[in-house]
Amino acid sequence: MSHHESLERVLYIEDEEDIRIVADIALKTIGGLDTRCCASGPEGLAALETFPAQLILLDVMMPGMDGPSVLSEIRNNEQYQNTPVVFITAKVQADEVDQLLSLGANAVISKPFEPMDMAQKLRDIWEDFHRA
Amino acid sequence: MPKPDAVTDLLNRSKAILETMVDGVITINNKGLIDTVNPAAERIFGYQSRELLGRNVSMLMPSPYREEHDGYIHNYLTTGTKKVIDIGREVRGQRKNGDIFPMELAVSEMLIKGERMFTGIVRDISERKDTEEKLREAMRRVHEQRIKDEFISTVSHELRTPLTSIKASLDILKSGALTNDPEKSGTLIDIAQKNSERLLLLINDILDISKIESEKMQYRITRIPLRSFLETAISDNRVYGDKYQVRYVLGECPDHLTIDVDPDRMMQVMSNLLSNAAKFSPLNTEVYVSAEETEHGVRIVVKDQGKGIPEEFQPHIFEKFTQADSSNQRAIGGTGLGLHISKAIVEHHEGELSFNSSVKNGTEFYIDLRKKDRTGAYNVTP
Ligand SMILES: Nc1ncnc2c1ncn2[C@@H]1O[C@H](COP(=O)(O)OP(=O)(O)OP(=O)(O)O)[C@@H](O)[C@H]1O
Ligand SMILES: [Mg+2]
Repeated sequence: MSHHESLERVLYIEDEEDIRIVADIALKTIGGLDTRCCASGPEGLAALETFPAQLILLDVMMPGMDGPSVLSEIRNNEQYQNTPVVFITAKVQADEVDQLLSLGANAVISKPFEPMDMAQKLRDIWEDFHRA
Repeated sequence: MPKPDAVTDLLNRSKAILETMVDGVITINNKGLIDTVNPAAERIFGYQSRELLGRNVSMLMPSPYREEHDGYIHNYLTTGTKKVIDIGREVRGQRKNGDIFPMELAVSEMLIKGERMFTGIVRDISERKDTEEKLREAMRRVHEQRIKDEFISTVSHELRTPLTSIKASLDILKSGALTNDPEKSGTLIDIAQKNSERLLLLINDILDISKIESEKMQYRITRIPLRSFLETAISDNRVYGDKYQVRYVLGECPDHLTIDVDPDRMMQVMSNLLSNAAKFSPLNTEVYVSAEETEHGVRIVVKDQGKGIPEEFQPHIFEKFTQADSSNQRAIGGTGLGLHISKAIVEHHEGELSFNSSVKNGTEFYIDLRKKDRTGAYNVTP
């Protein structure tokens, strides 16, 4: 097995304030992850400059800059171009999910999500990412 | 001079071409009388050649072209104005059995022994037209289905969004992970409660939309005094105004005005206009509600002192699920169905919902209800 650090720092970009609050509790309070939540793409991209996220959780439909645009910005950023990005979305039909994966996301989590297992799910994605 | 058998050969060839052609060929003289027809023309129009030769070609046309045709030839011969000559065009023909069908007609002119003759080449395009029509119909259905799919996908997304916070809040509370943190627990309870309400509003809106689209919305029209209707609208929505610290003020409204509406439905329109005005106004401002008699009926006005509706967004304001694209407004809440529903309701009353908006003066929404005749609904009583 390859040696890598364990998952600790997660950035979550989400425009719905209530979802940010519950996700923050799920990931930080319950899941023990160092979590940073941002309300928009530009805010999240700015946060990446000071917060070295290991994994980025990304809402898809956001006003202004949507999830896919944020993803392509991340892929153009030298420091983060290989960082795993996970879409989290209420668009859950198979073709919609496939489309998101084809954009280069590492995984897609659907809404509603399981708050009690959410951190573990991200850790699993993180392990899969390093095994691959 | 070609040799005689060469001439015969040439004639035979020409004849064979004419007789096997798919297109109908008809020649007429300068009086419009049929001189020759080929087998295809007989087949297309359903006549035998002997029924056609020497008859006026207008018999192959439906009214009113039939009656006008002699005029065309005459007009052309005297003025040179062309209707179909040298210009291929789509026209209608009439078969012996009376069927009218679309055909392509190209007419050319020739001089034979000093006499002017015309050759018409006729192609029956009814089958092609039929296919085109079927194709259009199929494309229309695909388009409708796509719009329906998109709507369902959007609805599913919109329903899942509040549900996500509700379910996550309840799952966390139930797990007991926050038993020692009453503050966070309280936040989650609030979130679950608030989003349940949002979900309910959303479901009501979606039901309204589906009723509107299937034309199953029920309206019970009664005559009500306008002033007290506006007073009720204001008091019913006061809580909402308080939430955004905006005061609803009733301005001018002549006492004698009445409207003939479904009061519940029209109240729904008022609530949406009032909630929009509050949502998009700065704190501590006023929203004015007033009404006036117009040339055609009654106008209700809801005027706010907000930043206005962005110009590029104005053309889309009545579409489903549309909101001006800014995160600030997203945070304000709503799903962008309100105005779509409001417009449908006002239009059902044969009225009009419109607005005028600018950064400087804020936004005014107008409900115009038209006055009808004595028996009609939308009266203004003296
Ligand atoms: N008075 C106003 N001032 C500025 N913008 C407005 C005003 N009224 C409507 N809008 C814009 O039009 C959009 C659509 O309004 P609409 O009432 O259809 O939806 P909503 O209020 O966002 O949601 P809903 O009414 O479905 O809860 C709003 O989101 C807002 O961007
Ligand atoms: Mg509204």
